[in-house]
Amino acid sequence: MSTIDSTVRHNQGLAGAHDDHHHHELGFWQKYVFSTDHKVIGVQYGVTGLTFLFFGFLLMLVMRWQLANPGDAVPLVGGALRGLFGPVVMTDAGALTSSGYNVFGAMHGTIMVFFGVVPLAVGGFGNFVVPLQIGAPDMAFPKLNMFSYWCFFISGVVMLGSFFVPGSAAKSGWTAYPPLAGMADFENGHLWLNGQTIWLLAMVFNITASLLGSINFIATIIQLRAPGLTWMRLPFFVWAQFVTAFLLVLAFPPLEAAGFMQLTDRVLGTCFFMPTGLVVGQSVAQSWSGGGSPILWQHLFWFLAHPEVYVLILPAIGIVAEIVANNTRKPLYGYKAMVYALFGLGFLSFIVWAHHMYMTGMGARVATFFQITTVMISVPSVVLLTSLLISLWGGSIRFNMPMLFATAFLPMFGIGGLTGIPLAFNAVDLYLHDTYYVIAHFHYVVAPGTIFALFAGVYHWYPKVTGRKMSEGLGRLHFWGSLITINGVFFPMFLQGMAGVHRRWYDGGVTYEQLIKPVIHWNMFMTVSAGLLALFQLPFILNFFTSLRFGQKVGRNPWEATTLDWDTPTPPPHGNFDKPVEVFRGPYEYSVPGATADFVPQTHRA
Amino acid sequence: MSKFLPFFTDRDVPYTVAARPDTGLYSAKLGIWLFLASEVMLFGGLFSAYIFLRLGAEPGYWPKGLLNVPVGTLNTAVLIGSSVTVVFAWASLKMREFMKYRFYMAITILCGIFFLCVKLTYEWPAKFDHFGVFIKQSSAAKYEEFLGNDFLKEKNEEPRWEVTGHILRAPKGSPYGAVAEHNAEHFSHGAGHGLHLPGGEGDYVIQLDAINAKPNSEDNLRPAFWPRPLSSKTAVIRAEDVESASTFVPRHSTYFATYFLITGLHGLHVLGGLVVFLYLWLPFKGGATLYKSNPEHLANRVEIAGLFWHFVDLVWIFVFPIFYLL
Amino acid sequence: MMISHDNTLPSDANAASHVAASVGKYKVLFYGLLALTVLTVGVSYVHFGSNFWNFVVGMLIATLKAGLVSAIFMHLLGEKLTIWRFLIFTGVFVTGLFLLTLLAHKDPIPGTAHSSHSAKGNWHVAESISSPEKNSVSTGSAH
Repeated sequence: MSTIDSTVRHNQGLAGAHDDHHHHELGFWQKYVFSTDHKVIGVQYGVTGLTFLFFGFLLMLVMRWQLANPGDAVPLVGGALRGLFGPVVMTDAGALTSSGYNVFGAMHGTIMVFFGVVPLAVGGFGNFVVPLQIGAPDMAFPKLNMFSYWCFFISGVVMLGSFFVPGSAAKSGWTAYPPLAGMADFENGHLWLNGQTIWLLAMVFNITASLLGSINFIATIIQLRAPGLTWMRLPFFVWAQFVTAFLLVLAFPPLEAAGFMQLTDRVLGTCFFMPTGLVVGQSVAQSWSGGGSPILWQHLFWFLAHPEVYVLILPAIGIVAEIVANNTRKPLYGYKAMVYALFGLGFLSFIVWAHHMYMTGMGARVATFFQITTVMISVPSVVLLTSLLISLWGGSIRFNMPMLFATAFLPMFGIGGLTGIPLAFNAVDLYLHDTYYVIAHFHYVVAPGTIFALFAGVYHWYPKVTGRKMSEGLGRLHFWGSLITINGVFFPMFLQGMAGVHRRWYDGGVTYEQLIKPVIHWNMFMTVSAGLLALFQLPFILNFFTSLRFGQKVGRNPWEATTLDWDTPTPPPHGNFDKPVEVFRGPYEYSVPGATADFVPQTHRA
Repeated sequence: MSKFLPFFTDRDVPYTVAARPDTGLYSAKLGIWLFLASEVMLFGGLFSAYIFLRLGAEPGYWPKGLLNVPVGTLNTAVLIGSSVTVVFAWASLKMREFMKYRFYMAITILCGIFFLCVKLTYEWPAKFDHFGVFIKQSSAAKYEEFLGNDFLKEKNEEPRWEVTGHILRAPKGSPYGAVAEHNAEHFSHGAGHGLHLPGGEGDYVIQLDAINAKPNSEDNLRPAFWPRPLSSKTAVIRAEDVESASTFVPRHSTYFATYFLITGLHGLHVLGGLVVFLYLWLPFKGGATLYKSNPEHLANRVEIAGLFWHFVDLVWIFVFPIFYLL
Repeated sequence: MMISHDNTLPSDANAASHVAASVGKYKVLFYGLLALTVLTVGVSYVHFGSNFWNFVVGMLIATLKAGLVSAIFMHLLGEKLTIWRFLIFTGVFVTGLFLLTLLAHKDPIPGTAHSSHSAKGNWHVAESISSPEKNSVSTGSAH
C-alpha cells in the first residue's frame, strides 16, 4: 500500500469527524462529563489526579505536624479535622491519635501512588497527549476510555468514603501486609463496612480502571499512528507511555488476584495469608483453619508494586525528555539508546520485586538473584538520566517554566536513584530497612522527581489545553519555593535514616530519644519546610485558575515544537487535526543546518 | 447500542473493522489479546498462589478426592463443546450463513448456562453441606480408627488428620448447630436408627465418609472415579481435640479457599461471556441486527467474544486437573 | 457517520473458502480434546511413583490441550507478529512469577516460619492492633 493510500485511509477518520453530526448534538453532559473525547477525559483525569495529590499532601502535613510536635493539637484546623474525621483519628483537643497516624499514613501512600501520580501521569498526560502526538483522531476505544475514567472515579469516591465509616479508613499501610491487614478494622463490628475491606474494594475498581486504560493506550499506539510515523519517529513521551502501559497490563493483575484473596480472608474467613498457629492477644486464633502464608501476599503485592515504581517514573522521564529537547533546541542525545533503555527497564522491573522482602527470611540464593537484577536495573536508569543530562550540553537553553521544572528533575531524580543502590544490597538493606533513609530515597524519586516533572508537564501543555499560557512570575515563585523547601523536607531524612530512625514511629522518635538524639531535632526543620512547601503551592493553584481567564493567548505552536501535538489548532477540536496528517521525519529536528527555522515539524515534507 | 445508552456516542476511529495494513489487525482484536494477556497474569497470580500454598501445606493438610470427578469431566466436555460451537458460529458468519450462526450461537449459550447450572445448583451446594474436622496432631492417636495413620505410614503415604462426612451434632455454641440438626433428622429417618445420637454437648458427631469409615482399606487408599457413598457409621469427636472444623466452604482450608476463589472467578468469566453472547445473538443494534448492515463487523465481534470464551475454556483445562484429579 | 472504506469490507471469497476448509479441522480437534480429557482423568488414577510425577503428567496433558485450543481455536498459529510479541513477554513474566515465588519458597533461612502447620505459635499479633489507644506511647510529657 502506498503512503498516499494509507494517508487517505488514516485520515478518513478525521474527515468523518468533521461532518460528524453527533458533534453538534452533544449536550453539556456528553461533552464535558460523560465524554468519550480523549482530551476531555485527559483533563478529567488530570484535574482529579491533581486534587488527589493535594489531598494526599495535606494528610502528610498533619502527620509531619505530629512528628515534630507529638501529641499537640494541630494548629488552626485541629477542631475542624476532629469534626471531619471523628474520634478515631483526632483527639477532642484536635491532635492526631496513633491510629489516626496509621490512617493518614496508609491513605497518604495509597492516594499518592494510585489516585494521584498514576492518574495524572498516565491518565491525564497520556490521554491528552498520546493521541495528539501520534496523529490520531482519538483513542482506539473511546467508550472504554470513558469507562476507565468513571471506574477510576468510583474507586476514588469509595476510597475517600472509607474515611467516614465507623473506625475510619484503612490503617495497614499502602502495602496492606497480612496478617495485620487481614484482621484489622473489625472492631466496629461490620464485615464489609470497615476501612480495610473498603480499601480492597476501592483497589479492585482502581486496578480495573488502570488495566482497561492501559490496554487502550497500547492498542492506540500500535494501531493509530499517522502514516509515516514509524516506531523510531515516535516522540519519546509516547514510548514512555507505551512501556508504562505494558507494565500496568502485566503487573497489576497479580495484585488484583491478591486483593481478591485478602478480601475473602476478611469476609469469608479463608486463610490465604493467615498462617497456622496465629497468636492474637493471648491465644491461638481458633477461627482460622490456617495454612496460609503472609509471604505470599508480599510476593504478589511487590510483583505489582515494583513495576509500579517505574509506572510512576517513566511518564515523568517522557515529559522531561519532550521539554528538554524543545527548550535546548537540539535533538535528544541518544534517542535510540533511551528507547532500548526503556525496554530494558521495563523488562528488569518484573524480576527485582523481592528486594523489598530481604527481611522476610529468604535464603542467600534467592537474595543473591534479586540483588543482581536490582543492581542491573540501575544501568538502563543511568542511560536515561545521562542521555537527558548530555542533551543539555551545548544547547542554548530557554529557561521557561516547563524547562525550570524539567532541569530540576534531573538532579533530584539522580539523588533518588543513586541512594537506592545501597538498598539493593541485602546486607545494607537489613540495616536501612524501614528507616527514614528508605522514605527519603523513594520520595526523592517521586516527589521532587516525578511530581516536578508533572508540574513541568502542566506548564508545558497548559497552553495546548486552554489556549493560554500560565504566568511566568507566579510560576517562578512556585518553582524556587518548592525546590528549596522540598529538599528541606526530604534531605534530612537521609541523616535520620542512617542514624536509625524508624519510619513508623508516630511520635517522631520521642520514645527512643536517647538512641537518636543527634538527629531528632531535624523533625522540626522538616515540618517547617513541609509547611512552607504547602504555602508555595498556593501560587500554582492561583496561577492554574487565573490563567484560564487572564493568561497570555497563544497560537498553534507557542513553544515552537516539532511534534504533532503542536500541529493542531489550539485548543484541538473534536477529531483533533484540521488537515490530513502525514509524518516525514523524526521527533526532534531542532536546529537542522540549512533549515529556515530552528525547528522542523514532523509533518514538514522533506 | 446508542439507543439504549444515550451517553455513548460513536467516534469515527480508523481500523475498527478493517485491518491496519502494517499490523494486519483491527484494533479490537489487538485489544482483546492484550486483555487476555492481563487475564493470563490474573489467573497466573491465582495459580502461583495455589502452588505456593500447596507446597507450603504440611503433609495431610491438602485434601484429595473431595470433588465429584464424573460431574467435573462432564462439565469439561460441555465447555470444550461450547468452544467448538462458537468457532462454528464465527465460521458460519464468515461464510455468510446467518441461520447457522444463530443455531451454533444458541448451542454455545446453552452449554454455558448448563455449565453454570451444574456448578451453582449441584457442585457447590453438595460441598456446602459436607463437613470436616481437622484433629489436633497431639490428639490424633485417640481417633486412629477413623484416621488410619498407622496403615498410611506403613504404605508410605501422607498422614490423615481430617474426619469428614455429614455433621449430625455440633458442640454447644457452634455455628453448625442448625445444619447438624437438619442432617440428624435425615439420618435417623434414612438409616432407621433411633433418634438418639451418641456424644454429648461438647462433641462433634459425624456420619462418616467411606474413607474415614474404613481408613485401613486398600480400596480407599486412592480417590475413586465415582464418589463413594456415605457410610452409616458415626464418629464422636471431642471439641477440645479439634484444630478447626468447617463445612466445605472457603474457610475450611486453603484447598477449598483456592478452589472456590478460582472456580468462582472462572464462573464470573463464564457469566460475562454469556452476557456478551446473548447480546450478539439477540436482535440488538450492535448484535445480530448488525448482520444486515455490516456482516463483517458482526463476524469480528463474534471472533473477539469467541477468543475470550476460548480463554475461559483454557483456564478450565487447568482448573479441572489441579482441583479434581491431582 | 460510517466510513465506507472501513466498514463495508466485502467478505473475501478466498477467506470464506479458507474458513470452510477449516471446519473439518475444528471437528477433529473437538474429538481430540475430548479424548485428552478422558486421558487426563485416566492417568490420574495411575500411580507414577509420587504425587509430583502425577502432577507433572497431568500438567503436560493440560498444557497440550491448552496449546491446541490457543493454536487452532484461537488462531494463534497464523496470528500476527504484534500479538505474538507481547504474548511471549506475558509468558516470560508469568513463568517468572511462578518460578521466583517457588524459589523463594524453597530457599528460606532455616528456622523461620513461613506457612507450616508445625511452626505453631510463631506468628504473634498483639491484640493492641485492634485497640489503638491502649498501646500508644504517651508523648505529651516529652515537649
